[in-house]
Amino acid sequence: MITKFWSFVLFAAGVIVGFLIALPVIFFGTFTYKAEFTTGNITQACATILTGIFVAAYVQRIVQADRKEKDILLRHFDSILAGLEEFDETRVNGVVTEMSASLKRVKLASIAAVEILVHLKYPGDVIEQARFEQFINEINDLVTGTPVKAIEEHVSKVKMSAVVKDGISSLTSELKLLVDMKLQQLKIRVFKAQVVVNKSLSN
Amino acid sequence: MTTIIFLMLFLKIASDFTTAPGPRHISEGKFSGELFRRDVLLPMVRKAQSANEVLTVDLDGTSGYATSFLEESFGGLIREDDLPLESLNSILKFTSNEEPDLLAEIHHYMKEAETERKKRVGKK
Repeated sequence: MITKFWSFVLFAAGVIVGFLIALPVIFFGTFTYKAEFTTGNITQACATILTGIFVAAYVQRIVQADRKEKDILLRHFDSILAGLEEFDETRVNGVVTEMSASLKRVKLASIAAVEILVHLKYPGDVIEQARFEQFINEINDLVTGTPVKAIEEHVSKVKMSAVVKDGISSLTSELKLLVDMKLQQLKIRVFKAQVVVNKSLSN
Repeated sequence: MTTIIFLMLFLKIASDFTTAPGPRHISEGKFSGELFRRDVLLPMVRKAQSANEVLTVDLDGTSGYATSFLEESFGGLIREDDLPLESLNSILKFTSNEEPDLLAEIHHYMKEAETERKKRVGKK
């Protein structure tokens, strides 16, 4: 991927090399300019202009394709965020199947984002920023390993001392808070990945 | 010339059990890990053991797995059905293209269940 910086370096190198080549020509006066309208001169000028146009169009096409791919990536991150919102809603019902299904969708989207980044040959640190599977697995463990809803239902059904009931209630509250925190961390990571990809878009 | 034929049993959770795996216990809801282990997985494992075949479990195609479902299904084989990890390792193979990290997760549950089983056997 050619960034703005490397384009500038290439351009500067081209100017220097061109100047160095021109020096002996100017010094020894090998070529002299003669304004003549011959068929050969006109053909040569046309060919040069066409080549310039072709090269410019080609470079523009590459840049546009690159921009499109990055736009797709950014939209992909948006879909991951939307998936996380959807997961948050499933937590209210506490149905294990719904929660794990919603998390799997987010996980597959995350895996696809990494695959796209690898395919587009993004640097390793950008790819690492977009790896969310570990976070998703941790959230899945917390919400489906010991589902809060199931514990609460069980506590309400079974007779037990108030101390035990309170203890379980505080544990489930802690679990809920932990999931909230993990979810927030994951959202921040997705935002960061969006910023990193967006930054590479402007470079 | 001797030809060795390796026979293989195949179990795809999405088509042989459900596309929407549920909670841990039967009492908690539909398509639980306990039900899967009891009615689908264990009979297949027994079949593989008696025929000396490899049972490949395909995890793809479902809507997603709850941790409790996986633990109850595969850890449960060791903890509840008293099958040693060593014997299961030689006949059970897992495959997943969608979520390859599930394989390590399942092996982790099975190892933990084996530790628990060994403790129980030691006490006896």
